[in-house]
Amino acid sequence: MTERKMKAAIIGPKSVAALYGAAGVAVFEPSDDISPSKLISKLYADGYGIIFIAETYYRKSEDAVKKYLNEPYPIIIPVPDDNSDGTYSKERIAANIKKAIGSDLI
Amino acid sequence: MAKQINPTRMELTRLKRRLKTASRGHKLLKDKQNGMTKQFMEQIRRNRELRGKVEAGLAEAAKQFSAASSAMGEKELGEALLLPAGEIGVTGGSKNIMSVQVPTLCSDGSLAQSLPYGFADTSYELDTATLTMIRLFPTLLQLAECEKTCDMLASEIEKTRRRVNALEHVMIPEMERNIKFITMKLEDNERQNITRLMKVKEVINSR
Repeated sequence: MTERKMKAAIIGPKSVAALYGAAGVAVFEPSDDISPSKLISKLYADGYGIIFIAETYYRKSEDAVKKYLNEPYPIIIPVPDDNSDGTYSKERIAANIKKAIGSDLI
Repeated sequence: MAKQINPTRMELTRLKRRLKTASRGHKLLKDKQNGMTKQFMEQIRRNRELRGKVEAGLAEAAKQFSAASSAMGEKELGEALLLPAGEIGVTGGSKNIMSVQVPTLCSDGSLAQSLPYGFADTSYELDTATLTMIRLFPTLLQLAECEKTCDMLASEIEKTRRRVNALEHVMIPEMERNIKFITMKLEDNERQNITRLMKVKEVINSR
């Protein structure tokens, strides 16, 4: 794949996303009309290669994440939000280890 | 199944050729699996390290942001961050790890360098929160790259493991069983032929 300029976006509530906006990340908030899964597909179609997504929304849109699992882009990464207790990222790492090795060695 | 195959020399040659290919494929896939697992373990260690850094950084920024929010008020804070900070300068590519195309992200140095708002109506806490976030962004990009790589490698290792297991425990033993069955059948035919010929010779000699 040739190198190309990437755009980054964050999907999350305003309280979480505003900070990312200050660092140059485009901010999007799901609404009743557009679910997080649809928003992911729409953002990818609009050329966003890096999509940060609040954990609460990430859990709701795992089907969309699975769709892009075997492609290098878009990179969809969960980030902590107001409801996070810090365990979800550890669970994801443990799940990946279990998937690859068969048991959680670490 | 051994009973459904044709016990002919042609079938035996075909099966032997297939067994050779399957054994070679099994070895290659096993090597690929080992290579990928090694890379995966390196990436997963890096992932844990980066996750820890990012979550600590984000918690710090959120604390500062919340202090800014109480010092300035929700509305003023929203207004200050209304304008986007400009585009981030990130170049994306991909690299090959054991035939898996994983993403690579590289900052071209033009990430947001300054505060995206004026200083008249904003507080010191907001400046600190924004600068923390700007400083954290390169690590956030590294985490994005690393986590996607881990996801992709885990998925590919799982697929490869299934293929290796299918070859090792199903295909290769079945082919070996079939080869043994055909060999035994052909040897049996050979023995039958010899016995028949001996019988014929005996009948001819007795005349």
